[in-house]
Amino acid sequence: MAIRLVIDPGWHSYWLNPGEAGMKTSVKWELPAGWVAGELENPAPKRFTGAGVVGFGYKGTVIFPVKFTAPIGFKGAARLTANVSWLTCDDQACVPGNAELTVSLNEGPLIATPEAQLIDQALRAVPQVRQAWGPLEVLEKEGTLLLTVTASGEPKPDLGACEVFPTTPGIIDPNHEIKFSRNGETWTAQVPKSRYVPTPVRELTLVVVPKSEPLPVLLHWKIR
Amino acid sequence: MKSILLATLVGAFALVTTHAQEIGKAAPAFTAKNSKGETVSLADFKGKTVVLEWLNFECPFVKKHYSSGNMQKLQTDAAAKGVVWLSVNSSAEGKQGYCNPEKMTGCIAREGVKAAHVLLDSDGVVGKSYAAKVTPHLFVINKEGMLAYDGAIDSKSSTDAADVATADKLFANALEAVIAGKEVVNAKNKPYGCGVKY
Repeated sequence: MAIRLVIDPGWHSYWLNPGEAGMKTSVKWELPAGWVAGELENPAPKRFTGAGVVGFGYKGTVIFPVKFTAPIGFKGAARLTANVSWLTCDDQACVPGNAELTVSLNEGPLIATPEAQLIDQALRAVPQVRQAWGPLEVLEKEGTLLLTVTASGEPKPDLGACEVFPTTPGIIDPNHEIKFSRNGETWTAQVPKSRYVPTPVRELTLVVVPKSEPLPVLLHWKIR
Repeated sequence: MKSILLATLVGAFALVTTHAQEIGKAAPAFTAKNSKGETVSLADFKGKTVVLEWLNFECPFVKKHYSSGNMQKLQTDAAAKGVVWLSVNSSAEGKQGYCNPEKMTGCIAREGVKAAHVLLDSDGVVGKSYAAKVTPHLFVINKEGMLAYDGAIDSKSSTDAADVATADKLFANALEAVIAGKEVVNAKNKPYGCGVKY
């Protein structure tokens, strides 16, 4: 399933890391016994600057896929309710929104709905870990962070031609656009720390969006 | 005196003499007009604990804390402990949340604001000297004039007033520690809210 948010022109909503301000879209589920909802999966974001404040998020239509697990031996019908909360802002104002969405499901064979194709597309826009990309290493260096990606697989990834977003909030200053440059077999980027960075930095997730193809990549690092 | 000269050139009524905003360092000095047209300086409160709260009554995150009564309660509790609470409105003229003194006086009465002063910083001089990013963004300055907290009001980045009760009280805990002369555990954390409308 998926939740679709249609945003008016001139307005934007927010990613998992909203940037300097804003709020990610979240959902509280009301589910029958035994049903489990996964995380709301966020597609790769866009970067925007409104009134001098850098944000990460979406314009236009955004689709958040979410995976459900039905209880073993599910019979009959189930009613799934989502209480969705989001924030939209333009350069002037921010307006919160919420909606209660309900869908009823019946047991039976898989039938592709007209939306199935949209959900498939939305899933492809969600960043995934990929073999050829990574690992990511993070080193603290003179008030900055040195990011190193060893991208040795085939086809050879070109990190220099990617847009890069920090998923983990409060680590990298959102004002800084992350640009990797080639350094032999590895790619490196030196980035300024956010003023709210914890010491030491323990974890960092990046989303890398290649310009030439639609599949965004997830890079994850955790302190050993 | 360079900063004073610049401030005068752009017609600002707030003067800023230092630009540090690091925990444990001297809090940036400032002078600004309050909603009653009086001149207020940080230096007026020497020897007292001071709270700075960035404010925009049209921001849904600010509304969350005023509609729930949380902000007013924090202000009242702080005043009872001798803390000087300064709310700062850095919305530029023509931007969301901008208030002239008359409008601000109306908002203070309507919302039941219990701050000692509400400062009108429409040129953003005070806001930028603290690098105030969002509303609400909270700072605590200790009795020695050092910055002791820079961060969120609480841990739940939402616009839902129901979340106030269950959030970690990051700011309230920090203020309590500062008043008690103890070290603040989480002195710097990312605040949530609307961008300040400079």
